[in-house]
Amino acid sequence: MASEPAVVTLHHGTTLQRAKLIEANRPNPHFREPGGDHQPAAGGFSMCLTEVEDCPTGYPRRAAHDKNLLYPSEGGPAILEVLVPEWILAILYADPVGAFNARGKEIRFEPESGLMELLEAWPTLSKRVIPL
Amino acid sequence: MSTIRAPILELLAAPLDPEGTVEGLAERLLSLVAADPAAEMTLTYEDLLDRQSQRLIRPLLACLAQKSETETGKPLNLFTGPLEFVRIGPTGRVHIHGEFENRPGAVRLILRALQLGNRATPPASSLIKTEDNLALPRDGLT
Repeated sequence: MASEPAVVTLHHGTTLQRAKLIEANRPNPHFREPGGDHQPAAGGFSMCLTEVEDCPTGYPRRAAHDKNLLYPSEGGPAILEVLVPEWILAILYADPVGAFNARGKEIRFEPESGLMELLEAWPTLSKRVIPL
Repeated sequence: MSTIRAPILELLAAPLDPEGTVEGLAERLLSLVAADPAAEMTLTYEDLLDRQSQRLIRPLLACLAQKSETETGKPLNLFTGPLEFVRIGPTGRVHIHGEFENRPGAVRLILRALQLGNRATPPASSLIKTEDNLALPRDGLT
C-alpha cells in the first residue's frame, strides 16, 4: 500500500467569502481587489506555517481581520487551512526569492516558487475554511 | 527635496543575501531613507522593472507595516495606512513617515524623511524605543 505524501499545514487569512471561493476553486493569480484595476494582479498566493509565532509580515489571523475591515460585506474574517505536500514546499525553498520570503515566515507561492504545482494539486489537497 | 528612489530600487534588485530576511531588507530600506534627511519617495508596482523586486515588494510592505505598528504602538491595517519610524541618520535622528497600500492590484509606498531638530516636532507616538536599541524618549527630541 502506498504511503500518504508528507504534508505541511498552511494558513491563509482572508474574508469568509473569499476563503470559500478559493477553497472551492483555487487561488487566482489574476485576482485584483476592487479599485486595483490599474496595477498587476496578485501574481501569487501567500500563506503562513501554522506553528509560526512571530510572522514579520503578519499572522494569517491578523490578515483576515484587517481584510475584513476593508471588506466588511464579505462574511467576516476567516482562515483557509490547506495541507500542502512537502514536495511543493521543496520547490518554493529551492527558489532564492521564495526561500528569502520563507525565512521571514511568509510562504508565498509564485510561478517561480511552486504556484503552478499548488494550483494543479489543489483539487486533491485537504482543506477547510475556519470562520473567525 | 531629494529622492532616494533610485537606491531603493537598486536595493530591491540587488542579489539577495542567502541568509537574509525581509526584516533585514526593511531595515536597509529605512537606513537608506534616514541617510538623506530630505528624502522623499513614491514607489508603485510599475516602478519595479525586474522580477525579483516585483516579488519582494508585497512582503516588504507588510513587514514595514508590522514594524511601524510595533514601534509606534499605533494600530494599523496590514493592507493600507500610515507608516512612522525613527532611525539614526548621518546627522542624528530622522523621523520617517509615509503611507502604503499593499493589495492585489494596488501596491505603493510613499516615504518622507525629516531631520529631528529644533524646527520640527514629529508626532509623539513615533518617539518611542525601537527594536533597534534606539532608546528614544518621548520628550526632548524637538
